[in-house]
Amino acid sequence: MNQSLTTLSRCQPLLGTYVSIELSAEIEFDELIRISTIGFEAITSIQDLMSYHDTDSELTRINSKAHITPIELNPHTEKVIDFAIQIAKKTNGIFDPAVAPQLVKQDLLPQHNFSPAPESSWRNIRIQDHHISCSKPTHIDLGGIAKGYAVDHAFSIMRDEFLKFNIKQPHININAGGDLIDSHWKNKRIEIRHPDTGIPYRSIEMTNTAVATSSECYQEKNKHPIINPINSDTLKLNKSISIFSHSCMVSDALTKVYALSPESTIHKEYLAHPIIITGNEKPDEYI
Amino acid sequence: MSSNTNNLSRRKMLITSIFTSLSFLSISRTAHAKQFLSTSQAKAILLGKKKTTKMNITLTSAEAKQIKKLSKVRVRHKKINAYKTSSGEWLIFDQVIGKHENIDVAFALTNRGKIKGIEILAYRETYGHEVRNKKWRQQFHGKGPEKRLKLDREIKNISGATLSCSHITDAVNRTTQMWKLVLSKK
Repeated sequence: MNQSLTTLSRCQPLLGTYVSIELSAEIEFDELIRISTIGFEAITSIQDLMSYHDTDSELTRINSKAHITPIELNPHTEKVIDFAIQIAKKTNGIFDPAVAPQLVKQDLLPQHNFSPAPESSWRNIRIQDHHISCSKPTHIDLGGIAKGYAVDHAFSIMRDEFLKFNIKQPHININAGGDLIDSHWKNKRIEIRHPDTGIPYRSIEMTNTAVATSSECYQEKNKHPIINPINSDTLKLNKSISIFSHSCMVSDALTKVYALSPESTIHKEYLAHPIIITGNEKPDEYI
Repeated sequence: MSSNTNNLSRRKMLITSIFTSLSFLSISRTAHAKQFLSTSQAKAILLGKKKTTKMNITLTSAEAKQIKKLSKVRVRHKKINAYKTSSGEWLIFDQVIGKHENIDVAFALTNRGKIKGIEILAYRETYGHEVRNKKWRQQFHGKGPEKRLKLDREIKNISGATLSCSHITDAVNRTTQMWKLVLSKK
């Protein structure tokens, strides 16, 4: 019996923002509900592991104890920290997952009762045999890349669920604010918000399945989440930086690199495509 | 004090920049909106096939004041859109007004008043001036999803910055305090 195309859109507050999952396939509606629930649970599981805010997360255990004793890593956490160190190495520290103390100072992250780590950096982090250790107290914040990874992970898990029904090309779209992934990205456009007002401003053709955008359009005045790890200065980001790539985790990390180092060529290594919008361009007519 | 001043100047700046942008664009715009689940779909997802009873609950002024005191969140509507299962679970439909968002949301509570699940039903973007405008908000009350989508321009694939969902957290606190004070006794 032929099943007609069914569509479902759900949205839940996760990862500190609103995460929407949109699915479309020739499958029963109840199956779409079940698969989307698996997607949300996948995101929740990553949030539970890598939340800086959560005092029970694996990341909090790492931040409080990895300088005392090696901590065994969940494979997901290992992948994300390993990737963060990889980008830190490639950018010579322009990207650094150990800038949490500067974010705590701005109240962008909560103050935990950790021992202080003002001079620590990614160079103090070591992963060996699936264990992490830090040569001095180091406060890691995986922030955007953990969010990007959560989106990638949910996307991959839901695609596998569809495969069980022999559905090879379901439409899967996940949007978590700054991180978006769409299985049917070809010939599709996305709208980029104005870096100041947040109003959808430019329509851009997608050049890959995932895109992440960094801007300060929702930030409170005098709070700047991008920190220059070299001198600990905050960066007042007066533009929006979008990166297209094969994964939200890669895209999210590269937005931070391009914010601090616009001349970087790291996108070539990841076959990524940066788009910078200053807000001074002529707006698209559709708006 | 300085934070309030900052917020105020930020709002003024935001409104100014919006009007500057809009006059620059010379276009009148409506809100962006996205419809997710219908109330019956949300009910099915959050409570399964359990039978529910519609509960007529209107908070007294004293209850609303006490809920605000305990949750530190204002009670916007005294009339509560609530359903209860025979095993004591609750489903509450509420509206959350944030800094940039106006959201219809469903909360499911266990029979011990713990949050069991949250589903966003509809999301409308606002740009500072709209969200504080009562008339603008009222256009959405009591309207079905079809009407909303006709009113608004549907959100599709927008990429920007991460918008905090802290107003949902506030609404969760308000809902759980309401359960303790009122719903648990029904």
